Amino acid sequence: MTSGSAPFEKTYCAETARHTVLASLVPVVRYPLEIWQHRYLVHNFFRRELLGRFRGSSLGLFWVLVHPIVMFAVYYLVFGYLFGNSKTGIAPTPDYALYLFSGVIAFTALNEGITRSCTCVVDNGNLVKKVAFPSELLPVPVILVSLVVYLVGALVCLGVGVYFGVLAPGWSLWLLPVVLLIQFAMTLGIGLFLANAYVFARDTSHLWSIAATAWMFLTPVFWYPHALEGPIADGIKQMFAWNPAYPLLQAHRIVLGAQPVSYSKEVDGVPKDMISDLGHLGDHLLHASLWALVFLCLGYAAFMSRRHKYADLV
Amino acid sequence: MSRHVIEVERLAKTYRIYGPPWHRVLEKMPWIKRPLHQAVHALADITFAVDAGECTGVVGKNGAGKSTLLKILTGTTFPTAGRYTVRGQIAALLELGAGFHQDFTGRENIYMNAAMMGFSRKEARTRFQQILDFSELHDFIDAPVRTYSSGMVARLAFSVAVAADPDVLIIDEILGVGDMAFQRKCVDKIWDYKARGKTMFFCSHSLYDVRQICEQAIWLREGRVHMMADAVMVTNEYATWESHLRDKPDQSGYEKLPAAGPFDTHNPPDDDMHPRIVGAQLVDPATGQPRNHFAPGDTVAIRVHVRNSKTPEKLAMAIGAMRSEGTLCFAHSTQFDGVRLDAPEFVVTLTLGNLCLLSGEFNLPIWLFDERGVHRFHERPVDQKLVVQNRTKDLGLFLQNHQWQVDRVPGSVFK
Repeated sequence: MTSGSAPFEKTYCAETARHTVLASLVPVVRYPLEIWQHRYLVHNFFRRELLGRFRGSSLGLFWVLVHPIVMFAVYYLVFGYLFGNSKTGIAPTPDYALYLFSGVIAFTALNEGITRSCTCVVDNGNLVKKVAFPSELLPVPVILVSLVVYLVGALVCLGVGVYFGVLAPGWSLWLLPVVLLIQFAMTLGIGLFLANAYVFARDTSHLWSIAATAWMFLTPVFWYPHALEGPIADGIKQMFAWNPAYPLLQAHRIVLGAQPVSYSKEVDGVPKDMISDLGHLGDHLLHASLWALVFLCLGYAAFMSRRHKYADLV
Repeated sequence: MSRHVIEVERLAKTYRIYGPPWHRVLEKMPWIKRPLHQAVHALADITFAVDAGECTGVVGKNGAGKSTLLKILTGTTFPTAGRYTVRGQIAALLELGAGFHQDFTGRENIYMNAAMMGFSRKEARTRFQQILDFSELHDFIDAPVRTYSSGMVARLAFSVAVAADPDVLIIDEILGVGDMAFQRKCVDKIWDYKARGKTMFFCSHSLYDVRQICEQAIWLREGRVHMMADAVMVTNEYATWESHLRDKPDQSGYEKLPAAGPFDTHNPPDDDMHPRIVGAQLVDPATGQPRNHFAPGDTVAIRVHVRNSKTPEKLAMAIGAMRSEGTLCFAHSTQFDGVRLDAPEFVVTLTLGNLCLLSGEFNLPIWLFDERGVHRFHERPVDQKLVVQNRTKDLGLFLQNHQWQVDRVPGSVFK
């Protein structure tokens, strides 16, 4: 699109500029470098995004912490007493509440990162229209904020989980940054793709919110994979291979130290004790990073191929 | 190869206006044969080049493509055809304060804007004090921008933009921001830019400013370069065309056309920080007594009492005569005639010998400028109107020096 032979020399030729998706695909290798070079800008956007959400509220950033704590308490009480041991009144086991909680914070981070990236170009319309700056950086701070919110949630999760003895984080906790990096790339890819679509069709955000709800229920956020039985369940389990959120979510849980769940199941009429583990971390990481790579390339190419039109459309 | 700072070649920009939003997608479908959009040609085939150190003005009616051109050069929007090259770091003052977040403090917004302009953390830190000092917003820097007045926002934005010290500065219609003192600083900054050989691209409705600041000017008309030449020539042509346009009633759909000169009034605060016109009178040069009725051929004197600021400025003054409907009959400036005005307090007398105005009432506006004739410290008319009464039966505005001659044609068919 633009080329520079001397420092600050900028030439743009509408006839030779190539705005195809394929031509915009190759520079994706420069994208991480670009983010790094513009780290100060990203940092400023990040601050603005994070502080902007809580500007004017007296508790400020404290809300980031309050939210997951209350959320966990609700899960614990609702699924422990209301649906669980409401008759006996014995203190419920927090296993399911923690399973749910760990899934929800990870999926929420993914969903929120994508949802906010989707509208980020249009939301920053006055900047895109009036200031020449790399707008492909816009989703980055938004996603970073969602990851920070996740991290706080993960901290609460770890604290409660270790206290109840449900989570046993080990050396795998060191892989949390890797999981977050993969999640960052995946969110960024989908976010860029949708942000591009949203500029042209504002229906995208509504479509996405429906798709995200469906996605959440197809991913084991609320349910144990082993709890599904029958031919449909087999179908859904088959779909795990095509669900980018599945390996990511399970990787999150494994890294936080979630333990295999034991349950009993009738095999040929005989109840048997079974153990449902969360799968192999290495496999999950590999799958998730492949998905992330695909999304990132696709999203980046789509975004960059249309970027020259944004200023006229937002 | 030529090394113009800005080269623009056959540049065109077409906006597509769609009715319902889904038409944009529908149009791409193979079975849709006729276009569903309406094409608006904001720019059509623009070619020009600007050399280093030149200041180029852009004039034109609203919608002539001025802003589109500036936006393309800045890099926010892209042309649909043609090419352009900009050599050097470019900064734009398109819409002041566009990038500000209302809930954040001035300090946070300075850092944010600095980052947007590509500063690193270190550069932003070093320039911060400079930006703050220039903006003079020390007391408010930690208050949210939402509490700022529009003038303060403009001051902050201007300060941030010029801190980048770009090679090419693009300015769109911003010299009217802030209070008097700050406007002065802006003008000084622009002259400083010129002095350092930086390139400027200047878009304004004030033809006067374009004439004073720019060497050359481009007149855009319906997305094309109608004229590109010396700034004085272009602004004169444009003013003529525009006043012609104004006279036609069917053109009244256009927004209020800008005046072709500095006719709005500026009143400085009444303190010793600003030069001001204390008094202005029409006098009879023979007696020195106030008098405002004159006849063509008389000698008229206008006496203006000026008090300079505490630290005396170098000033320029212009005095004109304007008919009630707004026609400026003449205006003379000390700047063009090489008169020095820098005393702490002085009386300037402009003597108009052999008055050649014909019957009518004339307002006599006085402008007090800085020495370059750009920044207006004070504007006010002379206390009395100049009333001219004919002794002859001549018609019109002026008593033109004239002479009649009658030559008989020999050998006429009529005997």
